[in-house]
Amino acid sequence: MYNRSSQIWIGLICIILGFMVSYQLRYIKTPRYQYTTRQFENLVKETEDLKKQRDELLAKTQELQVKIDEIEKSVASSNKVASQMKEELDQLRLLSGLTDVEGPGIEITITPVNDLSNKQSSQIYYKDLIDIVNELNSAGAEAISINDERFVGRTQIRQAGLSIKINDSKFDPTQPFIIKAIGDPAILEGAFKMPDSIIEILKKIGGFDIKIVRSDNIKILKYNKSLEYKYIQRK
Amino acid sequence: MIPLIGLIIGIILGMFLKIDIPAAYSTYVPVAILAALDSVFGGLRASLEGKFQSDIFISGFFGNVIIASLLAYLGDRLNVPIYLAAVFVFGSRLFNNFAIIRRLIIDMAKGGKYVRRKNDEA
Repeated sequence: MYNRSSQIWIGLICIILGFMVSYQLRYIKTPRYQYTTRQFENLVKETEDLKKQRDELLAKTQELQVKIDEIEKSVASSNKVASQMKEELDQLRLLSGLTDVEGPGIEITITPVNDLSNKQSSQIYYKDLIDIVNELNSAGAEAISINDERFVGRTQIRQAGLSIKINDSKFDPTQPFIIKAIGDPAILEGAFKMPDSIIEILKKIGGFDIKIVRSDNIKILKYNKSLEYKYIQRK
Repeated sequence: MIPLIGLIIGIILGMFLKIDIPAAYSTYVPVAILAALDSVFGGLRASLEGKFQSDIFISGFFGNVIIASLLAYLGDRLNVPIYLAAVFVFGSRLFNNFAIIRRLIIDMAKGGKYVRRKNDEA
């Protein structure tokens, strides 16, 4: 009844079984969420607080900006040299993206399509955004913003964990991205009509709903972070 | 005893051998584990009943594992959770086999020779 050969065979199979079990345990052991639910709640709360703080600070900077404008105006009106300087300053601000601007241009909306049937969620890759901005610049765009983040000389577009960081603000790559550009609408749109342009490539890959809308009145917000230079000096 | 030793050897092997099954296949491993468990319990039962045949056992084991994995794969392709079928079947058979093993062992512990009864379910 208790024969040896059956034991040995079962033992052999048990080796394979044990191997699979321990392999699977090791595979599962990598935690999917590092935080417990309570920690998670706290973190959510913390982000909410920080967001509120950020909004308050943004409002404050806007208030202060208005004050600065007023002071500049009052100085400029009293002095001719000052008024010239003010004009120059405004021009420079316009050039460096520190003012809200509007004009004719195009608006590109890229919406990742995530229906339940395709398991792999499509998401925007930061290099696609860089390619699009590059294309817009080469088509003569005068002002560009991505999700209302003004593209200026110091703007970074890069992957930061699961999100895309633009001007130090983080965006979810599974959410729609709205890219606005001011320039000649026909030329700007034409840049993406070529067969191997980045938009066509994205369309071919699939998973994205891409719309390009021409408009005579595109509004682009100013660069809303403070530009601080620590290392460069005038020569 | 030998099955237990085998299990321990297997676990140690799995912990220390750095064999990487491609991530794409790792979803089929749980189903394969279930199939293997089913085979092992079936084998134990057969050996307790004295009806153990090594060729049937080995072919059953590999056949179960392969068919279960294939089913899971097919289900993945068709977007139908066919692997649930494997889970149900192997799960219920596991319990069945375990129930029979339990009766056999208790009967043996009582010292009485196991007498096969007609309605030998759960």
